[in-house]
Parts: sequence; C-alpha cells; structure tokens
Amino acid sequence: MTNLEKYNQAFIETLEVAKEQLEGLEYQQIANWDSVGHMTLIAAIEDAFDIMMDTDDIIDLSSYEKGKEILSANYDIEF
Amino acid sequence: MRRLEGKNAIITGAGRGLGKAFVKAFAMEGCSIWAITRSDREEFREYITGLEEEYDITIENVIADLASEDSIKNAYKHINSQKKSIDILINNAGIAHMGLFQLTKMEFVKQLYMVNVIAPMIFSQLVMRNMSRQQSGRIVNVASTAAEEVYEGNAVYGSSKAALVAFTKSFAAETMKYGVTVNAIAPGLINTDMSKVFEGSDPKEPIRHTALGRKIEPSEIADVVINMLSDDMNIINGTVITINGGHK
Repeated sequence: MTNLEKYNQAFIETLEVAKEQLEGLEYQQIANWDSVGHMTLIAAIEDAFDIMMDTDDIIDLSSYEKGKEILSANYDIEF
Repeated sequence: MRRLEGKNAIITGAGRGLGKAFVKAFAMEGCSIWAITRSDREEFREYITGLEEEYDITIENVIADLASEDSIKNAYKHINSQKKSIDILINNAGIAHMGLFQLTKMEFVKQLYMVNVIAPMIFSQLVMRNMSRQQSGRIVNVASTAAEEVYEGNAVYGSSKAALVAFTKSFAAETMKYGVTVNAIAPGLINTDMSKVFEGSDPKEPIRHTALGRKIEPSEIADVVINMLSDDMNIINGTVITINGGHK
C-alpha cells in the first residue's frame, strides 16, 4: 500500500467518506469530522504511519491537503 | 484479587512523600508503574527494585523536569514507545509554597504554575491520546484543600491548586465520551517533608482546625485513590474528593 493509499484509507474509514470526497475536504465540513472525529482520524494516521504527531500539528491539520503538507514537512512522509 | 492487576500507571513526583506512597500502594495492587522523578537517586532505584521483586510488577524510573515542556514530552515519548496501555495518570508532582504574594518573585510564581498546573495539563493532553483510543483511562490530579482556603501566604499555591481543580472539572466534561474519567483529590496537611512549608513557627497551628487532629499519612491518601480507581467507581468524574479527616 502506498503512503497516499494509507492516508486516504485513514480518512475514508474514520470519517466514513468516499474517496471522491477527499479533495478539498476540510475540518468540520461534514458531521463526522467534528472534534471527536478529528482525534479518531489522528489516531488512524498515527497508526498507519507509526508516528506520534505533535499537538501543534494535530491542531493545524485542518484539511485533507493540509494533512499531507504536515506529514511531508514534519514526518518525512512522501506522497 | 489485587485491585489494579495488570494495569499501567504514570505517577509524577514519585520520588518522595505522597508520590512514593502512591508507588508502593499501586505496586501492592498489581499495577506496573512509570515513576517520574526529577533526579536519578540510588536510594529510590533500590526502593523500586524491592517493590518489583516483592509484588511481581515492573517499575521504571523515568527522569523528567516538569518545569520543562520538552522534558515532559520526551518522557511521554519514551513511555509511549513501549506500546503498552496507559491506564492511569496520577498528576502528583507539585511545589509547595507559603509566603506573602508581595514578597514572591514572579519568576518563582511562573515555575510553580508550570509544575502545579501546566505540567498536569501537558501530561493529561498527551495520555488522553492513548486513553481515547483505549476507550478507558483514569486521570487523578492531586490538588489541595488550599484551593479553597483563604489565609495570608496562600495566594500563589492556593490559586495554582484552584486552577488545577477548575481544569479537572472542565476537562472531565470532554473525556467521559471516551470512557476516561478525570478527578482530583484535595488532601489536607499530609505527614511529609513538603508539609513543613505550611507549619510556620507553630507546627500545631495547621492541624488545629481539623477534626482529625493530626496530619494525614501518605498511605491513607493512597488508599483513597486506590478506591477511586476501582472499576465500580468509573461513574465518578469531574469530582474533587477532599481528604482531610473533616473540618473543626
């Protein structure tokens, strides 16, 4: 599984969205991506990549695209 | 049946006084422990080795300076890397102080607030990530009756403990949906070296207004916390348990 597939799967499984909905998806745009869903999503991303995200990064992960930026810049995960 | 059998706990301020009593009480109940201390002392290492052998649990002495956010995060990263469940967090470490506010340096106030308030917040935020995944966990913050008492010299210490109580109550409102409880204890005067700070010139003055008529032993506080952590107490959340033997 590629990094992008792992990343997408975290979103799809925790937020219960289709792959087609991922582009442009933002925090609190859908009911499932509320504060509880956010922490569940973070847990899924951390598990998928075996990382521990800093609190600042957790707070800053405000969209599907922003998450990829953060993972690339701070955790050496290439997409 | 030991009441904390198979559980893992982080205890801050574990090297002395109440923290040391927590370590012993938790070990006796079958709980493995990450004992957070500021310094590495041979006497404490020997103490925990003895407990490990006697009670068939593991205790790791993790060194961390709770006045430093980076040090706290590093301690947590070390603990988290072991991939064990973190079932219990006891935010016990604290700095005691009694002195006129007008004569207290602001640098000391900041240090005291860092250890008494911010460090418990950082630890709580970090372990909550584990506990929310587990859908279970217990956080106990060690506050003080000083949070509600009014007397000269209590402005800094008392207000820090009041802040910890307020944090406990509101954070508890966020955690219950994950099966995690957050409570505080508010001990009165405990029979530890730390309590000497509050004695002033007359050692009997602080206990004059207690129905108990003596200081509380650390083991008595630990017994209450062990009971709070039992499975049939998991509905207690956002509460402060006063442990002072009653007012007079």
